[in-house]
Amino acid sequence: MISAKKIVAVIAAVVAVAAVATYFGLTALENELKPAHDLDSDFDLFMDVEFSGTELNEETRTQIVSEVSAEVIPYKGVKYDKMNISTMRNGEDHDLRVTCFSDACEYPDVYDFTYYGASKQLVQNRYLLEAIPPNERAKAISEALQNEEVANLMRTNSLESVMPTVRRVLPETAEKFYLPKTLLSVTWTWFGENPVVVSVLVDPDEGKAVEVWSNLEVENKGGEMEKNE
Amino acid sequence: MRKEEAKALVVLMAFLLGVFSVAAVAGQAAPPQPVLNLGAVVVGLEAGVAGQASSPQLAPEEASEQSEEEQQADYKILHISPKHDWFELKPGGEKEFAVKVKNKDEETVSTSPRIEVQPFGEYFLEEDWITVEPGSAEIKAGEEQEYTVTVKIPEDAEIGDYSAQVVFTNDTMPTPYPAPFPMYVNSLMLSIHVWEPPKIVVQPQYIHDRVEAGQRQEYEIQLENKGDKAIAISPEIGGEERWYGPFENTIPEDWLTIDAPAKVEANSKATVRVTVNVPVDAKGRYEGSINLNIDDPSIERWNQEMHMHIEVWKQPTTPYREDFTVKQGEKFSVVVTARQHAYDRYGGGAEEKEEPSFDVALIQATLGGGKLTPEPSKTVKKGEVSLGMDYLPPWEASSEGMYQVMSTEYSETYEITNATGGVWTLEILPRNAESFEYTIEIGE
Repeated sequence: MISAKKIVAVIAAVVAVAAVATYFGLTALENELKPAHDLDSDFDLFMDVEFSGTELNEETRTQIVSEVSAEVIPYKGVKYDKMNISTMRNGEDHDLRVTCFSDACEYPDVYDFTYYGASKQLVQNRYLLEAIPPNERAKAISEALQNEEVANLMRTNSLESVMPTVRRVLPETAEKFYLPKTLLSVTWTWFGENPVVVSVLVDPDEGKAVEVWSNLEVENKGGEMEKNE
Repeated sequence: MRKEEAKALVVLMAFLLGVFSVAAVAGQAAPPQPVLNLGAVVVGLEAGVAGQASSPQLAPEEASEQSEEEQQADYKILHISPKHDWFELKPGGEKEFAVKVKNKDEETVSTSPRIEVQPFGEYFLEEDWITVEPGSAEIKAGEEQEYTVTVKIPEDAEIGDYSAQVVFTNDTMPTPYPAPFPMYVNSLMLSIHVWEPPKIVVQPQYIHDRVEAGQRQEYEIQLENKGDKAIAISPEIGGEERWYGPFENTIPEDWLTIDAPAKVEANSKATVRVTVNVPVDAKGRYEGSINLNIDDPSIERWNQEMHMHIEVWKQPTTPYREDFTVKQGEKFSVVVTARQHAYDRYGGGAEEKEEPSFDVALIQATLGGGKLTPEPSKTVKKGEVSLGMDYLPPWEASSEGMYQVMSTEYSETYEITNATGGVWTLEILPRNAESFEYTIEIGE
C-alpha cells in the first residue's frame, strides 16, 4: 500500500515542477523575440536579442529570430549570450547582419543573411566566425605552428610578429579541402607593399594541420613544394 | 801529383758528392705528382696534406708536354641530376630519390658511388645513413644510368644540419690554391636538416605594445608542453640571436620582472609572466628579448627568444603651437586629424583604445593674451573598410565580402569667420593619439 505521506510528497513534487515550468513558460511568452530552441544546439534559453536598422513589425521580427536561430550554431562548448540583428530593407526582402556574442569568447561570429519576405525564407550569404574560446584559439595556433611548412613560411617571411586570425570553417566548406567537419583556419596576414598571407587549416579534433595555403605559392605557380615525414 | 793539387781534387770531389747527395735526397723526399694544371707546390701539398692522389695522375713529362686546355679537359665530366639536394627528415625518417647520371664523354666511364662526409658543418652524418644502388656501373658514351639514393636517419640522430657528397668518380676539381679536402667533380651535394616538431610551443613570441610612461603592464607567455616528459625552463632577459641585436634602445633590465615556473610538466601548460614597469622619465621606442632557455633540443635556439617592442608615450602637458597670419576680416579653418590602425592589436593583451581627441585653442595678440577655445564646427569619423577579397585563403571564401575595419580616422574642424588681422597662434593638445595632422585653411 502506498502511504498517504508518499502520495502527498509526489503531489508536492508535481506541483513544484509545474510551477517552475509555468513561470519559465510565461516568461518566454512575454518575450516573444526569444529565439526558437533547437535542443541539439548550445543556445542559451534566455539569449538576449537586439534589433537595429529598419523597423520591422512584431510578426516579421519573430519570424526572423526563429529562422536565424535555426541557422546560427556556435562552436562546440560555446553558447551565444547575445545576438544583434541589424536589418536593412531591400524591397520586400531584408538584408540581415547577425552578430552573435559569447561571454567566453573575445570575438563574435558574424553572419550575413537575406530574408525573403514573400517566401519567408532565410538565405545565408556569408559568414565570419571568430567566436572561439581563447584556449581553443591558442591550441589551433600552436598546432598550425607544428607544421614544418608553416614554420618555414613563418620564418622566411618574418611573420612571427603578426597576430593570426582564427576562424571557424563549416563542414560544407571543409569538405572541399579535407573532411565534412568543423575545422579552424589560422591565418597570418602581413599587409604591406607585398602582402604575405599564410593560412593553415587545422583539424581541432586531430590536433594537426591538414592544409597549408600561402598567396606566395599562388603567385609562384609551378614551384614545387616538398613534404617529407 | 803535388800535395796541394791532391787536396784541391779531394775538395772538388767532396763538393760534387755533396751536391749529388742533396739532389738525391730531395728527389726521394718529394716525388713529383702533378695534378692536372696545378703547380709543383700544390702537388706537394695535396699529396702531403690530404694524403690522397687525385686522378688522373700524369707523368711529369706528359704533364709538361700538354697544353693548359688539354690538361683541364683531362677528367671525366658526368651530367648529374640533381646536382644539389636539400630536404628535411625527422630522426627515424627515410627518403629515397633517383639520381640520373649521363656520360657526355666519348669513352665509357666507370662509376662506383660512395659517400664523402664533408669535414665541415654542424653535425657529421655516418656513411651508412646513405646507400646508393647500384653499387657500381659502367656508363657508355652518351648513355645514362639511374641510381637510387636512400637516406635513413637513425632514431637517435641529433637535431641539426648535415651534409655529404655522393661521389660517382674520383675526379677532383682543380683549385688554384691548396685545397684542404678534395672537391669531387662528379658528385651530388646533399644537405639534410634533421628536425623534430618542437615539444614545446610558445605563444606569443612577440610583444609589441604602447605603454604610458610611469605605468606598469603585465604580459603572459603561454608555454605548452606536448611531450610526455617535463621540460625545464629558465627565462632570463637577453638573447639577441634571432632579432639581430644589440638594439639601439634596449629595455633596461630593471624595468622587467619575470615570474616563471622552473619547468613545464608533460602534456600541460605553464605561464611566464613578464611585467614591464616604465619609469616616468622614459620616452621613445625600446626593444629587448627574453631567452626562455627551454631544455628541448627540438626547438631551435633562436625560437626560444621572445622579442619585446615597447613604445613609451607620455600624455603631453603643453600644447603644440603653430603661428599663421590672417588678413583682417578673413575666414579661416583648422582641421586636426588622428588615425588609429586596426593592426594595433598588440600581442600579450590588447585593450580597447580610447578615441583620440584634441584641446584646440587660438590666440591672437589683439585678444590681450586671451585664448579662443572654439567648439569644433564639425567632427568627422572616417573609416577604411576592407572586403577581405584580396588575400583570403580558399577555405575562408565564405567570408568574402564581409567588412573589416582597417583604420579609423578622427578629425575635428574649427572655423573662425571675420577674423582679426595679424598673427594667430594655433595650440593643439592631443589626447590618446600617437600622432596627428593639422590643416590651416585661410580664405574662401
